[in-house]
Amino acid sequence: MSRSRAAVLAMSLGLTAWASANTPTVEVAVTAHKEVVTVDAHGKKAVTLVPATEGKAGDTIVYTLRAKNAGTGTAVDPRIEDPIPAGTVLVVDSVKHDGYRVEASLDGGSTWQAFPASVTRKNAAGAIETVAAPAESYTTLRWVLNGPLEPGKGTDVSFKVRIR
Amino acid sequence: MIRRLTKGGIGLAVLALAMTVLAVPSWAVGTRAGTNITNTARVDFRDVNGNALFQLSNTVSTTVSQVGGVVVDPNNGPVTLDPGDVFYFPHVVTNAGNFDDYINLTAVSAGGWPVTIYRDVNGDGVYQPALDIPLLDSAGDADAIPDSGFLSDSGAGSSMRILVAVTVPAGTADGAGDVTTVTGTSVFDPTKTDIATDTINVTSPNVSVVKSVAPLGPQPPGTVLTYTIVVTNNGSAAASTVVLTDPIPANTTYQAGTITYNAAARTDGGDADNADYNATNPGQITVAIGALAASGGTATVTFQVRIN
Repeated sequence: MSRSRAAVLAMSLGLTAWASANTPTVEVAVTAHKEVVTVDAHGKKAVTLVPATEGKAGDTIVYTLRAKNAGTGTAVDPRIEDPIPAGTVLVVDSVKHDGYRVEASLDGGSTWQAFPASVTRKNAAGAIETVAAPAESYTTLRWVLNGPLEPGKGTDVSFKVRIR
Repeated sequence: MIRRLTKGGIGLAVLALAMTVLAVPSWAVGTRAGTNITNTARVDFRDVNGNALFQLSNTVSTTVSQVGGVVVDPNNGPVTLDPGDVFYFPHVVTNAGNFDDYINLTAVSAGGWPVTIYRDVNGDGVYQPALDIPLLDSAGDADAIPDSGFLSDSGAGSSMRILVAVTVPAGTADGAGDVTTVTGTSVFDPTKTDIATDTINVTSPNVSVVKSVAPLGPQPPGTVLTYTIVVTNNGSAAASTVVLTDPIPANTTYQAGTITYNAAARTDGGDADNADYNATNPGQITVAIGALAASGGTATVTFQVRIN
């Protein structure tokens, strides 16, 4: 663990030459955009994205997570993890998962299950049933990439939330 | 998203109950204005030697902007009132926006009846003259429109209670009605408004008098004429303290002891019975009928004169 900390510290200080020749460094950048729906004179709807520096209840924010291996070594088993921000609700069907295994946590990252998550509950008749997890219950998402990420390679994932 | 309670009229019978149980509803207001919604991602990975590494992303921040919101509840009535009555309709005014706001309040009667908005200081839905004061313009916007005063965007401080006092003008016709519209407008965003209505149905007495004479037609002097006067309340409210007066016609002479009231004899003097001649009003028959029931309450008076 101390060794990995050292490597991260080294990267952040720009001391790349100090690190070994095959150190992977996967960086992830987040952007936030707001969906703005416009309707033209013909009644046709168009959705454009503008930087989400501000928003109000009901607005949809699109988060794009761009991961790239900026290091010199292969990154093994990379996974991108992102909490659903406080004050927002996940738009469940917006989670892009092509080529990844997406997992979800409903408890802040303590336990994980395959996305979309489900919950068990007692129905009116007293029987235990399994139903889709309510959107509000999602706390964290993670994308487990299939296979290693070679130096210079990157990938994007995205999801949407609605401001409460 | 604002959840709306279904607005339904509250009948007279349950209005008193509604006053005491008018609970402050909980409005789902949006995330508070000024809140920063932040997102920081993390990536975990290992190098080929199995060492665990991670990186944190930049943090993106979205600032929640202010949205105004107003809820005025409930719709009241219809209540049934008499001319001259004043009724105090209780309302709850709620800031359903996501930040502190003031809500301008107006109340206008469709028929132009006098309306005053009071702050229901103790929130009991009942007007107390020593306590409840007319609503004032406090927003500091000098718009001269009374407002709710400061309302926060959540909790008990997001609502206040008012009483809308509507006066039924004296002389309003039986069967007339009126709707007073109470409008709340966000001072922050005047496009955000909500209304509630107070409906009044008026009942009033409608007393008519029909007089007939027998025998009919031309009569020679010396003929005794019997006048029959029927007083009827066809209004939908009871009439009280009804008094009938009738001057003895010129060229006739009242025939002593001929007054009847609902077919019972009455004395002429100003005494305990309810009819007299020449006592209460000189030269006139006066009958204190008193109460006449709504929708058809009636009284019949007869007396006789002789043509001079």
